[in-house]
Amino acid sequence: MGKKKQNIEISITDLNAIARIGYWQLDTKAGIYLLDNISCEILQLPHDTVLTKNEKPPNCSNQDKWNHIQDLLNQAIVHKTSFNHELMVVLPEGKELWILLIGKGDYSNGECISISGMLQDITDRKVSEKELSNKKRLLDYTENKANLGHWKWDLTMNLITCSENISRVIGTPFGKPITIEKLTEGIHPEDLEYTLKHLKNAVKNKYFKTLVHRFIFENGVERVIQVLGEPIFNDKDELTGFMCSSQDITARKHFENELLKRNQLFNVAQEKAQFGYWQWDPHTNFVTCSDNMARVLSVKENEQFPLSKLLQDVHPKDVDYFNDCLNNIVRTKSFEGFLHRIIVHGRTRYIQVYGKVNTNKDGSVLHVLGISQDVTNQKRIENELVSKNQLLNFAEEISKIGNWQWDLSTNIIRWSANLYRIFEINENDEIIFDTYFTHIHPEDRKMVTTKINNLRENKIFERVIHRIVLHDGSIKTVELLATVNVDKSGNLIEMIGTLQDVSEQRAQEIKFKGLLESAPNATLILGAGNIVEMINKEAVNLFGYTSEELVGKSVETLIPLRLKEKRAPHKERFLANPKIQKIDIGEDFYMKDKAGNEIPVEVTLGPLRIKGGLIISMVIRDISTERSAERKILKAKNDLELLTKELTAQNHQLADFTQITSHNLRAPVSNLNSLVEIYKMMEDEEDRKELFTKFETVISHLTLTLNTLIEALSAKSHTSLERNDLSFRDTLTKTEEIFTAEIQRTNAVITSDFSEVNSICYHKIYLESIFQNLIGNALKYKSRTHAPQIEVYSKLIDGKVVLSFKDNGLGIDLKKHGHKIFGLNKVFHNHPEAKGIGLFMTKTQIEAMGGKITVNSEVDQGSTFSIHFI
Amino acid sequence: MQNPFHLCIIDDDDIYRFTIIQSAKFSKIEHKTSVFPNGEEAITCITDNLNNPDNLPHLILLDIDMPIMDGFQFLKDYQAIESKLSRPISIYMVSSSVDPEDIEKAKSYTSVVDYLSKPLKSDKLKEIMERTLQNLNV
Repeated sequence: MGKKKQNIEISITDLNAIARIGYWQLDTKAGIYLLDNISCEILQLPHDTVLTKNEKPPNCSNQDKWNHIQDLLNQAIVHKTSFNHELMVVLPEGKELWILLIGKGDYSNGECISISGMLQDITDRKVSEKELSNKKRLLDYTENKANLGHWKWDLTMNLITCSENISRVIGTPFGKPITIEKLTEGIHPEDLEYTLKHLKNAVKNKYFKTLVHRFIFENGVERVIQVLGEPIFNDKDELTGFMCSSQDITARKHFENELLKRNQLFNVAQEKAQFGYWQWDPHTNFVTCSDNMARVLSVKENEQFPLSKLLQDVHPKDVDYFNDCLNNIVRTKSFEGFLHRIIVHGRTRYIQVYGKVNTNKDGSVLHVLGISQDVTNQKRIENELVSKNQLLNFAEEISKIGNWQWDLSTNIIRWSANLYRIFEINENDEIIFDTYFTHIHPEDRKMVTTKINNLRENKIFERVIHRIVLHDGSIKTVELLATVNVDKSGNLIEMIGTLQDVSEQRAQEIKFKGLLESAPNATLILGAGNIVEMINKEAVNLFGYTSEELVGKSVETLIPLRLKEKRAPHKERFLANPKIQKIDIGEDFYMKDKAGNEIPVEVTLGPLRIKGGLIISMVIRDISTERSAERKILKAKNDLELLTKELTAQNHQLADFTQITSHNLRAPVSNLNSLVEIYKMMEDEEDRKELFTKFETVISHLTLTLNTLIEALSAKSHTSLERNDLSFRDTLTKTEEIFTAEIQRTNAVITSDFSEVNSICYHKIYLESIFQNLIGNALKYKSRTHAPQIEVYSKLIDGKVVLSFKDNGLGIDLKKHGHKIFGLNKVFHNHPEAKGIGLFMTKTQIEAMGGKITVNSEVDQGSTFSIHFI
Repeated sequence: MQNPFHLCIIDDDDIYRFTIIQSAKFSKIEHKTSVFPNGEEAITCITDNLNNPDNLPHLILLDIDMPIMDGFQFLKDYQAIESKLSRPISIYMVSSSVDPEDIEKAKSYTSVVDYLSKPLKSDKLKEIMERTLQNLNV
């Protein structure tokens, strides 16, 4: 037992040496300190050194320090308390030594007889503490800068210790514990109540939720403070307090407010877009979600709930799938979007889920953020699209059309299923440009390349029909159509188009074309908008255009502009009732060849209703030959008519001649015969002499008649007499000169008006003869009662010149003599000089020049002779 | 003969009138002659003597072609007064016209006994004068 105790004591001594704890004793009476070896070693004094109360040890830096120690001990003795002091001494080498001095007095009968204590070298600890202090200062500085402070809430005392920064803000000395009231003094009145409630809840829940409150500084400035807290538990797991940090987040809050507003907008947007987001913690299996989603799920906003709640509406058949997806996400730490159904109000809706996995630094999953979007509409559209696509495929297959898409940025070419079928390529084959290009018939490659380049450069693509050669060598004819998509700056981003197997159509077309070509007449096939789609060789021959030049152009190219208006009604009629008919515009229809020559044509339109509209076949028959034959016939007819007219005129003349011969020639001849007979029977010479004067009269009459006839005949046989521009005025003047004597004798007044027209292209002698005859007649057959007044005037009637001679003379009874007024030797008055030659000659001359003469007359009123020139 | 044969010539041609007068003389038939240069003067004279048969001719030689009023116009007017005549008159148309139209037209007038073309020979004149006389006596 004793040995055991001794062993323990030895062990303690060893431990003390390791912990550098020494023991000492002060004999109060003697005033002497006894130190053990360890104490001496700590203080770096020789073993068994005895220190006296009044004398400082040699290694103590000054007397004051030693006196301070003695005072502390004396106080302990007076107050009969233990002491515990940390002291710093400076060793002879100048090294600082921190020691902990702990001790208590030994009392006997109330008097302290000695003080025993412990001495520990705490230099290392002190250095650490100093370092900590430095760090704390740095922290305070940081706090200050970051508007950050921290405080400790001790629940046992319900007091709070604040960091220097907070102390300064609150206005309390640093290090002095404060009450909650004091801490919350500066909080915005509106926020105080809920802040206190929040603290109470924190104690109740043993959990400090983040708290945000406003704080009003002494200078009245309002700031927003965020408080984070961590509960402090003792070893018995009892809550003893909270370690909190407060941060001025005014700036951030401002930003947050902005964010909040945006978030509200976002929420609205979310609801509109029918999506919500949620966050799932795989460890707790709890989920929080956005407000709109909370409403959908009928959970409280801003509260977490178990995952099962999130899955409550998921279609029963999709629940497992949903879970699988989540597990997969956690496992792979990557969010693969998925689609699931939910049932809301008995209706199935489609939800597309996207998201993101948040991991910590170690790479373990913190939580999964998901966005669920109601894509029912899209899905519906998609389903429609799918079915449409099926239809399209079907349609493509039926119509042998395929479509393609060529993304020029990625150079990826996508073909529709049917396009593969058209090319007879395996649908899984990768498509590159060469896939298409190599299939193009070698002879067509250049043409296709040109078109594609044209599309690239000008963004214009005309349809191109070309041949492709399949792997088995068979040839198909396809029609390629393409268009481009460009970005904002006009760069090509993609080409899309269709390709149709038109082999059959082509064959049909070729057949049709063959028929068309063999048609004997020029034929055009017109499509929508009267665009020429096809023409045959005859049309090429007729119009001089090549097929390439004409196809694609409007048919109007071939129709003279001048016929546009006249065609309009026919066009309308045809379109209103399209049936086979000839173009009838009420006159000859012409078309125009390349050189601009008009060709008389007969056009038959044949309509063909097709799904896309109306196709018109236009059969054009060149009727130039017929027309020219017709023209010839027409000319012949005109000639004949003219001839007939001439003949009629000649007949009239012949009639005139008959008249002349019977009356004007036969009369003197018969007179001669009678006179000769009488001469034979006469016996008396005197009588016979008298008879000879009669012979002379008859012969001279006969001579005059014959001369007139010769003159008339020569006028009639000279239809193409020389013509000159002659002035009516000049001719009248000349005539007046000839009749000067007559005019003076009769006191005739001749007036004229040639203002409307003063000249005529005519034979000079004839015009003069007309003037002389008519004015001469007017003077000759003047009224017996008054002087002649003669008006000569010209007028334009229907573009023809009419020259009139009006007198106030005797006049002629036209009822009685109208039919023979212009006959030879016709006289209507018993006038001594009336010979009946003037008007006959005038008429003959006028008619010889192609005109006519008319008369208006009344007995004793006067006559008007009018010459109608042609 | 109280009332000698009355020959009337309506013609504007004075040579013709002269030859007829001469030829009539050669016929040795007692007669008197009246002459009118146109239809108008002749018809005026007849109209004036409708009820005076002594002044009316027995035979008229009517020309076609005359100024003022020709032979046909005369016939028209004559037809209008023919029924009022106290005694019939034989009218012969004598013209140089050989125009069938003229001949047809002349013969269409019932008043016209015949159409004769010029020249009218002496014996022909004698013949129609005799025939007219015969008709008168019957």
